[in-house]
Amino acid sequence: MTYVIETSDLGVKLAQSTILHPISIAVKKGENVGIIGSNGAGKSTLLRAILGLIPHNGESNFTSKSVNEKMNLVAWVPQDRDIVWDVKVESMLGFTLEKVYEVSKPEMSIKQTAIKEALEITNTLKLANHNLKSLSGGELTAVLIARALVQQTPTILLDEPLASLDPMQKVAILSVLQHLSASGKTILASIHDIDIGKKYFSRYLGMKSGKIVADLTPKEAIQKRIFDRIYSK
Amino acid sequence: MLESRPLKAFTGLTLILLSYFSLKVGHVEIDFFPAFFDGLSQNKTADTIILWELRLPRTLMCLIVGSGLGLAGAALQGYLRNPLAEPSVVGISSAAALGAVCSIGIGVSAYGIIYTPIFALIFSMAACWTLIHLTQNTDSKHSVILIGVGISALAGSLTTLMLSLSDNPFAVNEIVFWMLGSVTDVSYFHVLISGPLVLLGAFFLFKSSSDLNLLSLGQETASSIGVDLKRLRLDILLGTALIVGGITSVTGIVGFVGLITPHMVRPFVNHEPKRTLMWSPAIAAILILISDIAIRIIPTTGEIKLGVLTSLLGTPFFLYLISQKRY
Repeated sequence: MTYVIETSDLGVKLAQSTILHPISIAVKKGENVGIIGSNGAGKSTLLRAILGLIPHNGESNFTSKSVNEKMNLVAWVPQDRDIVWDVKVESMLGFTLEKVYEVSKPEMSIKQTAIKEALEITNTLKLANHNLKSLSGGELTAVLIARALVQQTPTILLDEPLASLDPMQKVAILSVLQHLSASGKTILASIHDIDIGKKYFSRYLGMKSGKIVADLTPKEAIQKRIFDRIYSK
Repeated sequence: MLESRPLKAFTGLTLILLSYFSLKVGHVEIDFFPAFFDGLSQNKTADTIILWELRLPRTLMCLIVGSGLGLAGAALQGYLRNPLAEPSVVGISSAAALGAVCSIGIGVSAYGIIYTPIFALIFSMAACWTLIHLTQNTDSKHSVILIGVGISALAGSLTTLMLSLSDNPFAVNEIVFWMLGSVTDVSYFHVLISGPLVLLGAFFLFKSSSDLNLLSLGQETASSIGVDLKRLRLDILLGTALIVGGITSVTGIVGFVGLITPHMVRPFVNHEPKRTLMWSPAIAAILILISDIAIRIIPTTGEIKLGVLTSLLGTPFFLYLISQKRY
């Protein structure tokens, strides 16, 4: 079995208190996995720890890699969408592409093709020349996913990609994620919207108090008793 | 776009023309070209002395001050992801000035003029380190500015303490005027102190320019795309400290150039941090040359200090940015 995301006793402690208890999970190639749980359950912490963005114990298959190796294995879409500089969408994607191809120096045509493809997949090609601050929440999320796509990694991790979006925008983003997993990419995303997401995710990991408490099919995730177990105080 | 050839040529030509006026304009009128060529052939006249020994170092210093502070401002704004950041606003210039005053106050500057920039450098580096260390876990733009205000207030009060403990009232008077920021009495020696420090600082800042583009997406995303945040922080810290320390130790505090310039450049470079960094030095040098020429043209009994003029122009702009919430 090929696992593209694997953690072994991955935990996070902050000032003597345990934020994330040792967690071992495995995600197969092409899976589209949602992490669910109430606020403060440790969803974002788990994703950050998997990427090695925060101090942690244990390991994931990414934490031991060098920054350049990691860049080619996994892309990250953070929850923070604070746009400071009002750059064009195309330029923002170009920044990543320049870094990815730093060594091999791609031809301009390759760059343009990669950016165009990423924008097409996320249905944002028409936004290529728009400035970031002019985008709606849904458009910005889609464009940030496009940025992750130009990194051309087999795996994408997303922190709350549906936060602050209206139902239509959520469905649009989920469709993009489903399309990506269908084309072989592995998706691991923290979400709150189990109802809307049930059609789109292949598996749910339920988190509570820094632990994985359930590994669920989409049908199981919406059952009241399981929902209560994960979300009860 | 500033990258277009005509705009590049226009910027270059403006710099050359302003440098020419900076050499030509002053309280004493000189015949520029005869003085220029007489100076080349070592033929000393009053005009050659004014041109070669007074005005040329002053013009060169204007270019160094402008390009250095423009670059440091663009780099700080890019790194801190804060359009309000610049060396004087976040206290780095005040700290450099404190270092220079300390070197004079404790008497080490008497052993060699080189100790003043060394002290300015150490203090500006300490301010940069404090600012970057205290702001690394926050993305709040207000926190960055408030911490900067704190550093500036501390450096300012320590400077006042140094001055009030001094037993030489003439030295105090001189230091207070020096701190206002001026290029009036600079010599080639000063140019040789500031120039290499600014060049070395520019090397560190230009080296990190591509990473500033990636940092515009936030620290976590930048880190996930392979930006080495520790190395970037060190580059920005060293680059900014070298530039601000090197300039402030010679000219005193010339504020707000680093704030205004990147804002002037951004609309022409699609707001991209790297291109803002590349163009800010030239535009800031133009601003400083214009300010320094204006100082000489404006009829006043005593010459207005460069730092006073840049603050007079920059402070309303700073307040405007805050009032428009464009940060």
